[in-house]
Amino acid sequence: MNKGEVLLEHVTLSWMGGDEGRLPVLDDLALHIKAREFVCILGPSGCGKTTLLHLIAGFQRPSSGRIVVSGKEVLGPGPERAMVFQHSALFPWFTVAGNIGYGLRHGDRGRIKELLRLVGLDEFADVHPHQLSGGMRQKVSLARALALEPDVLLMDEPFAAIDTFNRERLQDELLRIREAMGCTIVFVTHNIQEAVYLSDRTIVLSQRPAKITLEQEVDLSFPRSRTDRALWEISQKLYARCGCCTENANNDPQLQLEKRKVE
Amino acid sequence: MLNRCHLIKIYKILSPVFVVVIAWKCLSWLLLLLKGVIFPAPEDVAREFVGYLQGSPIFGHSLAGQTLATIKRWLLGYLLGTLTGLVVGLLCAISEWLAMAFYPVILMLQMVPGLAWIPVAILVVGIGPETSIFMIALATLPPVTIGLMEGIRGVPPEYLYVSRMCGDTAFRRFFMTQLPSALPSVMTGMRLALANSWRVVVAAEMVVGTGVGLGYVILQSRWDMNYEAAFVCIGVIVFLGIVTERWGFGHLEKYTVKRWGMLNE
Repeated sequence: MNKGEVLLEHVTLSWMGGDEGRLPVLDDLALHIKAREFVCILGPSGCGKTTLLHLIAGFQRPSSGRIVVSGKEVLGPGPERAMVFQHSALFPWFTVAGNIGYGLRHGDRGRIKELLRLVGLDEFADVHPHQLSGGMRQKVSLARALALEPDVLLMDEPFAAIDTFNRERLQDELLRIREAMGCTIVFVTHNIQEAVYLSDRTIVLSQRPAKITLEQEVDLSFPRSRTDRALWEISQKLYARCGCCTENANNDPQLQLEKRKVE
Repeated sequence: MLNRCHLIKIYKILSPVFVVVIAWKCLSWLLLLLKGVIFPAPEDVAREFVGYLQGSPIFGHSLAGQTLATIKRWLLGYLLGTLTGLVVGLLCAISEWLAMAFYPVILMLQMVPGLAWIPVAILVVGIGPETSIFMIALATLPPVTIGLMEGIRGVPPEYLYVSRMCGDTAFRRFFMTQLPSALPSVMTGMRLALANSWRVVVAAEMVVGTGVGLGYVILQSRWDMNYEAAFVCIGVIVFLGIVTERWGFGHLEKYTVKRWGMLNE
C-alpha cells in the first residue's frame, strides 16, 4: 500500500444512548482513495460527513470495520493525518507563527517561514489569530496542518464560512499548494461547484445513516476554469443526483402536511 | 486643551462620586430632621480623613498602619487560597477520579458563608492574625478551583483534536492547550474570589479580635461613637477593592486574554 493511500472497509458507526438506543450514523461504508488523489465528499448537512473525517483522523473509532492509511490501521490521531477545521480552531494565545509551529518539535523557525510564504502570510507571523480575517485564519490552519507533513490532509468544510470571492481565491491557492505538497486530500463540502472544481473524484453521501450514493470522477486537467462546459455538465449531473434532498422532501410527512395546508 | 474625550473621562470618574456625596448628604439631613440622629456628613468624614492623613492615630495606629495590616492579612490569605485552589483544581483536572471525590466538596465549601467559618477557624488555628488569614483562604479557594475546573471542562473539542493530531503528550497538551484555554474562566474565578476575600477580611477582623486592621477600627468606632472613623475605613476598603479589581485584574487581562481576543470588550 502506498504512502497516502486511504482504505475504508465496512466502516459502520452508531451513536449510543438516547431513547432510540442506537442511532446509526455511517452504514457499512467502503471507500478506496488513491495516493495523491483529491476526493471531495458531498452530502446533506447532518449526514455524517464530518464524522467520516473524524474517523479517518482517528478522533473517533468506528463501531465496526477498519480504516487503513498508508498501510497502517488507524487507531488514534497522528500527524500523518492532519485536519483543517471548519472554524480554523487556531489557538488564540499563540501568534500565527506559534500556531503554525505548534506541531513542529523545537519550533523550527525556517520551516515556519517557508509555510508562511507558501500561504502568503509572511507579514503576519507575529499577529494573533483574532486580528485576522476568516480567510486568513483558514490559511493559517492549513499551514499548521501542512507543517505536520501529512500523508493525508483532511479538510472539513474549510471555506464554508467565507464569502464567494475569497472562497474562490482560497480554492485556487489550495490547488496550487496541493501541487507543491503532493499529499492526498479528503475535502468535505456541501457546495457542489466547489467539489467539482477541486476534486479528482466526488463522492455523494446519503442522508443518515450515510451510504455512498454516487461516485463521480472529475476527469479534467488542472488548471480548470470555473466556466468550463465539461465542469458545468458534471455539476448538473450531481445536482440532479443530489436531488435526493427533494425526493426526501416528498417523503417528509411534515412537508406533505404543509403542502396539503397550502392546497 | 481639554477635548470632548477628556471631559467624558472626567465625567465618568467624578459623576458617581458626586451621586454618592449628594445621596449621603441628603441622608444625613433627613436622619437629623426625622429622627434627630447625628449622622456623619461627607464633609465631617473628609475632615476626619485629612486629620488621619496628617498623622493623628485611630485606635492606637495610624490610618496607614491599620490599612497595611488589613492588606497584609488579605494578601496572605488570598495568595494562600488561590494557590491551594489552583493545586486542587489541577489535581481534579488531571484525574477524573480525584474530581469525582473532591469537586463536590469544593462546591459545598462554596456554599458556606465566609463568616460561618469563625468557630472552625478558632478551633483550628486559635485566635490571632492567622484566624483571619485562614478564613480568607477558605473564602478564596472555591471560586478559583471552580473557575479552573469549568475552564478545563469547557475547552473546545477542536483544540483537543489539534493537540492530539500534533502528537502532544498529555503533559504538553495540558500546559499548552487546556490551561491557556481555561484562562478566562480562571480569571473570572479569581475575581469572584477577590470579592469574597474582601468581604471576609473585614468581617473576620471585626469578630476575631485582632487589635489592628480596618475591620477592627469599624467595630471599635461603634463603642467610641466615632462614626467618622468607621466611614473613613469603609471608604478605604471600597477604594482598595476597586483598585485591585479594576486596575490589577484589568492589567492582567489586558496582557493575556484581551490581547488574545478571548474576551469581548
